[in-house]
Amino acid sequence: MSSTYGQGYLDANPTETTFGGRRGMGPIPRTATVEDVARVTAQVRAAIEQVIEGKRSAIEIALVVLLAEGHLLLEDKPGVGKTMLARAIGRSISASVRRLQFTPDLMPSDITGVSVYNQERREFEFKPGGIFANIVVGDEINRASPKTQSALLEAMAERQVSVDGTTYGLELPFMVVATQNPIEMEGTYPLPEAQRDRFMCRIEMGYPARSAELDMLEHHGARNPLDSLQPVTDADTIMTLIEAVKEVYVAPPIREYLVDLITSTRENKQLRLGASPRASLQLLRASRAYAAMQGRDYVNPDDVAFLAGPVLAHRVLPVMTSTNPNDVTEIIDSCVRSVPVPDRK
Amino acid sequence: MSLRLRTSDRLSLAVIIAVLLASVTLLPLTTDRSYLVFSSILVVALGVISLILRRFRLDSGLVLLIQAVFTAVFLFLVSGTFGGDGNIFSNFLGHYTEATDFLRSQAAPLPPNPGVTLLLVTAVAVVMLLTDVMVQAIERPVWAIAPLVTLFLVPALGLRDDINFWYFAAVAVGYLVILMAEGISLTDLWPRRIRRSSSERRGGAMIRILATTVGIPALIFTFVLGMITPTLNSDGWGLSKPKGNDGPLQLTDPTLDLRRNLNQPENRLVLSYTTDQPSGAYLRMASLPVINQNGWQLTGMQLNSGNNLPPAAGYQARPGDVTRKTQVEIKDFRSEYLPLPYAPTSFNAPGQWAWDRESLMVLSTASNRQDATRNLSYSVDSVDIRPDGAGLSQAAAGHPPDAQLTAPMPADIPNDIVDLAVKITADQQTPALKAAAIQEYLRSNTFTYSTEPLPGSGYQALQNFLFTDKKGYCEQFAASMALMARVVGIPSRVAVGFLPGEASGKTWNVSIRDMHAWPELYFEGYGWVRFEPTPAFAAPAWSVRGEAPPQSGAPTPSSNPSAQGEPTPQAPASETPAPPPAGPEVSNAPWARILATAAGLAIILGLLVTPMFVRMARRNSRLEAVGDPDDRVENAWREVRDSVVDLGENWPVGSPRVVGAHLAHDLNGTAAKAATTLSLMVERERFARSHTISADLAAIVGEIRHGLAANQDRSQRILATVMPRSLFVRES
Repeated sequence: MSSTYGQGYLDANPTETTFGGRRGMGPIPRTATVEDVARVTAQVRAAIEQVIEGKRSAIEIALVVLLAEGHLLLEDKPGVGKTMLARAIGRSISASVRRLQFTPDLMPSDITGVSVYNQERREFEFKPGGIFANIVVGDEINRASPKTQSALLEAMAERQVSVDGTTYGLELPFMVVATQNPIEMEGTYPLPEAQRDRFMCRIEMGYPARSAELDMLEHHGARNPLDSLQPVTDADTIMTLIEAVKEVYVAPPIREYLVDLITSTRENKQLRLGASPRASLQLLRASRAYAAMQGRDYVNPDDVAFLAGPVLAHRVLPVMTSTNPNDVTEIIDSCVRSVPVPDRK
Repeated sequence: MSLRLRTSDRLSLAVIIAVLLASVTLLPLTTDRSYLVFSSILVVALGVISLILRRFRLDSGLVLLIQAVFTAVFLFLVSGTFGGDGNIFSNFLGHYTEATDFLRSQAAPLPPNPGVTLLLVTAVAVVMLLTDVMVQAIERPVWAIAPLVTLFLVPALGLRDDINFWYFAAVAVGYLVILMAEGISLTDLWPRRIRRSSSERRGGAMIRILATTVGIPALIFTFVLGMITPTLNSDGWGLSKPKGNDGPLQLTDPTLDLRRNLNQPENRLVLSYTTDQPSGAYLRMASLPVINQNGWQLTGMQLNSGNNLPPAAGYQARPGDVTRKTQVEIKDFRSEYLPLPYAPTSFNAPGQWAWDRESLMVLSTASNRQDATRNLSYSVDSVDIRPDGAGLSQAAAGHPPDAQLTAPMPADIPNDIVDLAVKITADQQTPALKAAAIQEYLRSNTFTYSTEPLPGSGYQALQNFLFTDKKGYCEQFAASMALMARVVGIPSRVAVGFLPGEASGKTWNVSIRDMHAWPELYFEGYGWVRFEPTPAFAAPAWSVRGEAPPQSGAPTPSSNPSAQGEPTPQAPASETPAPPPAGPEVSNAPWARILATAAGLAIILGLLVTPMFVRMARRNSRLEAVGDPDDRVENAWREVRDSVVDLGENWPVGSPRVVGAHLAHDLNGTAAKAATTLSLMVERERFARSHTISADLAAIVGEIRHGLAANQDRSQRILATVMPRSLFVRES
């Protein structure tokens, strides 16, 4: 691509463009309180539960990630409803959802988008990629090449895409729900630890309980359950909730507790890699969101302890390599137990 | 480094003060106070070492090691200043060996001795280290009372003298100082997480209030008791622990003196005394409890120090008992036995004396004890034991505490003596009448008093006396009667001492030839009773058969035909029993006992209810509806925690919300609701931006306490109230 062309394109276009959703840091129509957060998330959760039964804690953590402006990593076997969860969230908050099926031949430009020459208008035109949506479902992310993975991760981290020297802001709220198949398969590129660190939480869906599975067969046997899911809120409202979450108070003893917790993963003999400072930050944000979802304007130690597993388990490396993620969760739990809850003011 | 005192600093200082105060309690043990200088230096040094090292957060074990090494070096140096021969190291150990020997042979207060000083300094050092470990290393300041009281117990149990109450007060004040330091530190620890606010000041204030409301009355209580208790006989407490003195004293046979002195060419004055006993007093020096073929002998004794003697063995106090005061001046007379009227209750004599519980003999423990009585002036109180003849004649032969010595009839006793005893007493029914019969037989004209018989009191000598030449002096008479008493089943022993002597105005003069021996027989309810088989001397009224009842008349020795012809006759009125008095003296003893018991019960009761009151005071101060809202919520939460701990349950681990859920799970409706409400208030207070007290905390806590108590049975509830566990269990 010649530089003159690029220059012309830049002249003709704003440096930031938003497709579909609201623009990046625009004004927020109204403010919300933690009570609003609790009320709206309860509605959203109830709506999603119509579609995915018996997975309350997975849904809650997904909403925590949404409100804390993080990204979610779903690691589980195929067919347990990973994509369904992401779609249900998007639908219930009437946000745009796009699905990217990661395959070895998926190109970075498939994610970010590409500039193509418009013959009629005689100019380059940006064709946005799959990343331009509020909720982006990256299915089987481990099947794509590392180059494509890193394009996704860059967009995730920066919430913007640069193509041909132009930066395009992404729709807000923005959340990537990446799924990864834990079963080792040929031709896959499991996310390296540094990349996994960019996901706020990792959860496993797990198989549904027998009764939940029976219910599912009864209710959703004939039609796509998503069809009956009505939105309960909108993306703008979600943005006000996200702002409200940022106001949640974290008392100094809670911060100390959180740091103690993170430190304990670094000192744990069973882990060869502890949690990063980024993990501290993400745990704090997630705790804020979780507290707000309970209608509290302050974080309590239980919030931090509850989220330690989902936030930290995928960031640490056990000494013994194991395919069972539950082992790591167990170690994190032992770290949580080892750190005394702030008992005194 | 800031000037602000840290927790460990405060505790270190408190430990120094407490141990310094406690080390004073060793003062009564020694006349040499120099130990206090060394021990104080050492205590301060050890405390400062602890303070400094703990500031650097050195491991407690290491601190103790350094302190121990310092102590050893210090003691070594102190030992060096005392000098000695040979090398310094053997001197060091030598001082300790010397001290133990010294302790065994000497009664407190000990004269100056380097070994003893070193030993006392060592004791204080050990207590210092133990207290420091308890307070600082294992963080159990409450237990510090154990080492501190140990120091106090050494003189308290070791000395028969009453210890002045302020020694205990010193220990108590020191302990209180530690507890106060601990209390202030606890509240100091408390608000550390978030901010140092008014709660700290208030916490300190609370401790001070507690100290004034509980500690100071308790101390006053102690002072008052301290003033009452010395009036009690320590035996009344069942606590007295005699200080053993494992017989390093080699006693001389008092009968040797007897024989020698009776044969003195010149009858010189050996002692004089004044007494309020009308007939003068038999001054007894020793009692020989053992008979074998070699005669009557002393045996090993358990010696006790102190000036107050226990009640006479087997003697039941009865109305009419009179305490006699006797003041004795000894001239040039050397003995290790202190001549005292029987039964002595207390004596006051310069020098070192120890006594035997069974015989009430008092003997010298000084190094030159053979000369102990020379030019001695002393006073003695004694109970005047004068049995009534009628009662005694009915009394059974008793079983003295040392019956294994004084009761058995030796197996090798010659048969002719046994036969004689049986023959003399054949017609008599009761032990006392048998004894009177033996005495009567020996006082009969069959025997002649002579100071030049064949010496000795062995079987051979007695056979000779009883069957062959029938001549003897007091020793043979006494020995024969005591032996025959054994034959007829009466415990007996032979006493050696002085006759009352000659009255000259108010003073009684006792000369060397007044040395005497007489048998003492043991009767139930009367204990050891003096008999007088030697014909030359008047027999006591109770010992003569066929006497009229004792209250009715005043039998005199002259009524006994055989009591005559002796150069030192007794005052005729001497055996007149005292009129039955009804003075305060009579009721004194039982009243003191009752008072003592009451005071003892009061102390025990006071000690028992103290934890309850401390706990109540704590609760009331916590639930006061004043002060910083943060503190009020925290205090209410602490109160709930302590209530749970009081009931023997464990405080759940976790955040307030989790704990509240645990509590609510175990409680019934309203209490569960109250627990949840309070836990959420605590959570908001600790973690939220701001909080308000939206409910009556005292009511909420009351509700929870009510619910907690309802889950427990009655005994648990009472225990929780009387002995609140939260006072003793340190919060984790």
